[in-house]
Amino acid sequence: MMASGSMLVLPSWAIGWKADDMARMNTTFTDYQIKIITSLVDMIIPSNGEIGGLSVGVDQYLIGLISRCFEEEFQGNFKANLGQLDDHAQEKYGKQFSDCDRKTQENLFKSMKTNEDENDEDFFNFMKSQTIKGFETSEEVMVNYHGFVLMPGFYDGNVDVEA
Amino acid sequence: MANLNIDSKKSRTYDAIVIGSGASGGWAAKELCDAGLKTLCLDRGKNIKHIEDYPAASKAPFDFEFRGTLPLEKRSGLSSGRWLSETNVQWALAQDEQEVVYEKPFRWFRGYHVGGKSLLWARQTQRWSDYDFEGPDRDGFAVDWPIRYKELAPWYDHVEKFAGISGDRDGLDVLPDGQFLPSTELNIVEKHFKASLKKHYGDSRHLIYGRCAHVTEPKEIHIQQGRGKCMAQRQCNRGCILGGYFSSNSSTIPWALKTGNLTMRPDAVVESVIYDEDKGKAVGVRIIDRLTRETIEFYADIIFVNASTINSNAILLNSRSNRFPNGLGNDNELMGKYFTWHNYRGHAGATVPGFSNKKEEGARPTNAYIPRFRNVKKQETDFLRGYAIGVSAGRGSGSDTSMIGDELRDNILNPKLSDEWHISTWMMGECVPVEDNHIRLHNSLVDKYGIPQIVLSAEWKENDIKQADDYVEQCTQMFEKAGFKNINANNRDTLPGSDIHEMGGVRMGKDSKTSLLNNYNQLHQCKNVFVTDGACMTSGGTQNPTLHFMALTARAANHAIDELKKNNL
Repeated sequence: MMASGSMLVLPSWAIGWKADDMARMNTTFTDYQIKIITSLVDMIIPSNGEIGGLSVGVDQYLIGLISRCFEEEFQGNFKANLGQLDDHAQEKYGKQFSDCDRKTQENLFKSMKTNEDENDEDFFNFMKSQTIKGFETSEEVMVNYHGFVLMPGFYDGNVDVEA
Repeated sequence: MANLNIDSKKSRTYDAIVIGSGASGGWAAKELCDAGLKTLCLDRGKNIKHIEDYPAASKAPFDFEFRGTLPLEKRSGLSSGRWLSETNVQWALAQDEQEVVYEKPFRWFRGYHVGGKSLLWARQTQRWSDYDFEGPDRDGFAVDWPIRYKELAPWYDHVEKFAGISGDRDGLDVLPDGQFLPSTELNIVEKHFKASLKKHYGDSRHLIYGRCAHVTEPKEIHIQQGRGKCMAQRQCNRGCILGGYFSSNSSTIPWALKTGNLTMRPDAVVESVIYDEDKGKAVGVRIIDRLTRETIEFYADIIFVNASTINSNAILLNSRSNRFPNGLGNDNELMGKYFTWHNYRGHAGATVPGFSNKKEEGARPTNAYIPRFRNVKKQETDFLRGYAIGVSAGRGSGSDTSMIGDELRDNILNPKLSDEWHISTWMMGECVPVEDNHIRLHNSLVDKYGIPQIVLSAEWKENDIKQADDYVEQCTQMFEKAGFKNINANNRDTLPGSDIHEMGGVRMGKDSKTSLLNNYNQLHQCKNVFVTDGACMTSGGTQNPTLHFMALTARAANHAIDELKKNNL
């Protein structure tokens, strides 16, 4: 028997979500699609132990961006491409994409770029460029690595470059 | 009931009405309110209060959930989706706001909100010289300007002191000096270019710091406006919470409001100026409320038309009466004609060898500038007039992002200075106004307010194309002489209007047969109507025009005040 009336039944994979994962509630991505996105981000910009794509939330950025800023048709293509990555992984290696090692994931991802289908190349370019954008425009990278200052208040166009 | 109507009419009656609250309308409101006139300032767009209505101001990319990309729901119904972002969406025009017939391709950028394009402008403020005023007369186009530099100079002073203009006193006859706040030093490459021009062209070509409407050192007058020092955020078009640059919103409008004499009325789409045939003058303005679509009339002794060039033309053309069937003050049927803009077709870039031991730090709100040098004192080329050049050199940094993985991350975290500096320049040429380039009203099509649609019929002419070819040639030569490499200079077929410097159509002149406005921007045939935005321009000059509009406005407003006192209006 179904749980009564108004009670919201969370699927098992939703148990143990962190607060910032709740952003996922606004998306139409399945949990497994999200897992592939996470793997892709971690593969494109892996962590060096201090910082990486996932530690600055590029996965969350991408999920929000695609869910909220793009039309359904684009979302559909994007999801189809995620499925395609997984299909290739199954065909070639008998594994899900997210279970492949990083080198294998990278090869599968790169093969999208050289596929004849324009959609695949668009997917590769979009995923890579938006992962870079999400990383480069994160507060951690901008402030701690690129010296971002909102209000510099001065200009000097004759500064010696340190040797 | 009769009494109620009288009361209602009284409550809609002011000493002055200003149509539009952009740079020039804001100045009209300020001057009129300072003189004690009860002034109504209308704007067709939403209200924008300084600081509190700048939702994107002083935000970093990571402060936007989608790093600037707009969610779908914020995009719907808006035009120009391609370059819309979280940083500019609040200035975007609803797609159906005002349908326009583009008889020839033209880009019309509109700022429909209180403050208008004064929130969005490039903030470059170069004065005209008599070489500009005398252009039409010397070269035989349009009509002679009814004023000269000496008549406008005190008003440039007046506007500059209040607005806050950063600049150097360069002592150039082509670009008179003004009331300047401190400048920012040019960078090492711009200084090199300056020295090279001096060496190769003597005193005929100059590179200077581009004068700009930024408070680099607040004076008492700026502190009174509640404005502070520009901190070079370089997000000026989001509105500045510091009031670091001049806008109506940060400066003239709050100033006028403080007098207690200003009533701001946003959401007021002006349909026409009301002309009273018995009195022989304009008596008010008819608006349509943008939100309720109610038609409302407001009344005043004087009317300033500052709706932005194209709209000021359209409002006057639509102000038809038995006396003026072709539009207010348009017996000569010249209204809307000789519409002009600036020639921004030319662009150039190059790399700069030899400065790899130098870099930039911090930021600045302006760029360098080469005032017009072509045909200044006499005709030298096979095209008329000339062009100024915007100049900016810099040394960027970047990362190789061609790979994936650890190397990509490390490259992004450690961007490298570019091997060389880069310099880019852009042309700002004077288009010669011709009758054929014009604004008119459509005979039958109306917009959603029932106002006749505007027809824009304007295109580049041979003179513009030749002028841009000359820019390409001269810029290449100047770059070569300065030792720049990889020079790429182009005359691009950009859409006219892309400069956002529309001018003319209600030109000033000496007589009512050949012009619409007199030497104080009054309609020759309806003296209590003043047109002081870009529509009044007889010719275009090469300078970014806003400073000129503001000075003309302040001058005309003070004339209006004097004439009112003398009961002449």
